Amino acid sequence: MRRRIGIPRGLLFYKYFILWREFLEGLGFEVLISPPTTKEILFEGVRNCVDEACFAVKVFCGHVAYLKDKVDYLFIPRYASIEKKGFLCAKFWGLPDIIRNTFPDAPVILSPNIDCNRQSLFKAYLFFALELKKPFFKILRSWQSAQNKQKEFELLMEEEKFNPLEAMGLTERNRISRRDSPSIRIALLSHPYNIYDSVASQDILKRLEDMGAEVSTVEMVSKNRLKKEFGDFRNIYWTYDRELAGAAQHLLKEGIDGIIFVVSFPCGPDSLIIDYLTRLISDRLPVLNLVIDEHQSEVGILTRLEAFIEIVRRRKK
Amino acid sequence: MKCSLPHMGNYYLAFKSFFKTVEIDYSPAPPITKRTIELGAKYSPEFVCLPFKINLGNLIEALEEGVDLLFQSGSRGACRYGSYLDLQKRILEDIGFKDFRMIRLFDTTDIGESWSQLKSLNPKISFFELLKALRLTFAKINTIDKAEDLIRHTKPYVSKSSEVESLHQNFLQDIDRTDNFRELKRKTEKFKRSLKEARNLNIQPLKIGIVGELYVVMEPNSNLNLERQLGDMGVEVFRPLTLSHMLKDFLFLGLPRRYYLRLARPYLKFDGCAHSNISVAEAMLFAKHKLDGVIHIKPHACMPEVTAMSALCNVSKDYNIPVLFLSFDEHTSSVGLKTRLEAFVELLKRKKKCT
Repeated sequence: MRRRIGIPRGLLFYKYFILWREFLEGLGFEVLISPPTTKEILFEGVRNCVDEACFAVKVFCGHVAYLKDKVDYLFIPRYASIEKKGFLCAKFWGLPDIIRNTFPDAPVILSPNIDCNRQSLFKAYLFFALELKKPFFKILRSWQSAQNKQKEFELLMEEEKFNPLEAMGLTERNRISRRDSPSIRIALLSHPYNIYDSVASQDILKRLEDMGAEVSTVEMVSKNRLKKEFGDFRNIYWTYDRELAGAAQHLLKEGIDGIIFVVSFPCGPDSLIIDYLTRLISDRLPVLNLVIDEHQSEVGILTRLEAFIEIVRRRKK
Repeated sequence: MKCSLPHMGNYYLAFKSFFKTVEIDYSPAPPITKRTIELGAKYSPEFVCLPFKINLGNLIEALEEGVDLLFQSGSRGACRYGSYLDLQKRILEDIGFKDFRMIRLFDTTDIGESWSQLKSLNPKISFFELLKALRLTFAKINTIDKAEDLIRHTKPYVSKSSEVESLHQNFLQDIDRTDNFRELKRKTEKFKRSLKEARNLNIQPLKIGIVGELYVVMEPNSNLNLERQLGDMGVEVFRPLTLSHMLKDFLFLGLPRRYYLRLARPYLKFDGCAHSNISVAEAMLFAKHKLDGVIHIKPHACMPEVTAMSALCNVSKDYNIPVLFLSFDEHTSSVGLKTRLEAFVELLKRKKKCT
């Protein structure tokens, strides 16, 4: 019988789901993902999680609470760093431990230890699979196909401007036809788990598109381009925040009309980096800082978005 | 050129002698007051951690005093501490301070860089002189830590805690005045003796251990004098986390840290960066040594310590030791803190009576 493994729909799911699914299915697991965030999942997460963890971690906890009785294993990798001399936020370092301590009755948590300052990505996954007593060649084959699929997935986002969920094939591709009103270009800069989770983010992405804005996100800028823009931000050592800074720089050059930062309360790296970026940009372009947490109201977000779009439109005229 | 760096506890005394030996003009930032914290909070990003705000307040006040070279430490890791420097520099420029330099003082991931920075400030300095300066600094840090430790273990045993405080203040002044190893040792011995005489060992105080984020643990102004408040309530405080402890960890190539990581293994499988694992391991050690309770303190939304919090809940259950979680930011009120501390101490007293 194939063992069932659960992947919670939160945090790095939006970046590496394709890689994880291909790899785990190649190893002979049946992969189950939690459904898109609902009010109940959100509530469960907030109820269970440590109250000072960031909002995104609370959402993640909600998904774990949903999955934990339905699967034999939970797949929660520990991502400490994905490049040399770069780190991820401390939350990712301890994520498996947070979950293990928050849900003592959870099924076995499988977590490869990904730390590129110590060992390469491949080695991390290899050791993880060897520990599960999988045959070597099977691991190799599934890793190869997983990598290829992941590359295809990233290309879809960079070149065809798919959003991650569309590129994963989890939602229908849906582009609204451009309105007659003068189209404006907005950069929506945040971590993917903030903006593509429609309940947690109050559907900011779709609302912006409904208002007739063309939205660019970090995923839509190619990795090579991002690396070129890193120069000024050498001192930022959080990989994802450096990518944010690079994307902001690149999109500024391409010509956009406004930038929206979405931060989940109280995100550590963003609290510094977004402030830094705002200070750099705000004399050139309108900038909106949106903080999302479990107490936000739909109307509050909508009002702020509408006001911002209005400002951007007038400025363009 | 006059230099300054943010405060942490009484360690400015040690840095003073360091800069004196390497012949760099140093004036300590004005002591942390309410104004410092308010200034820092005013110009800081909204939900950045408390050390950032207090540090920024220190830097602003130092610049107001006419300092033109600022140091900020911090090494790369997942914690926010390492990137304080860039944002603080930018904020200070935005406030309107011109003509100042800001330098990374001590980066554990890049020692060579620190050396070349120092060389550029004082080209005459030789490696031997640096070693001499470091040795004196370490000795002073060690002495300061030892004195504080003595105070913590003496206070509950004496009838008048204010006397101990004044002895401590005098001793700190003594440390400031001496630059001589032998003198330092003699004065420490004298201080130790005078404290030992005052103790009345018939008292059996409550024993509480403090764990948590390093800055809030070490800087009494950021935790509203938590240790002193506990001491005045007649509690013996245990606090292993000191700067000398961290320096030793660095000198022994991180081996003590590895030991702690291993201890915390049952609760935290991975290194959660900074002090999260050490907090958990220390709490476990406190429980094994039959302390009455543990207080875990951290700045609001500290990233690594949140990981520790979830584990500490389970430690508390498994070892049957009460844990009080306190998080500090610029809005924490001293009355609120006092109420919670009194309630916690009362709870521990009852628990002790019942068993």
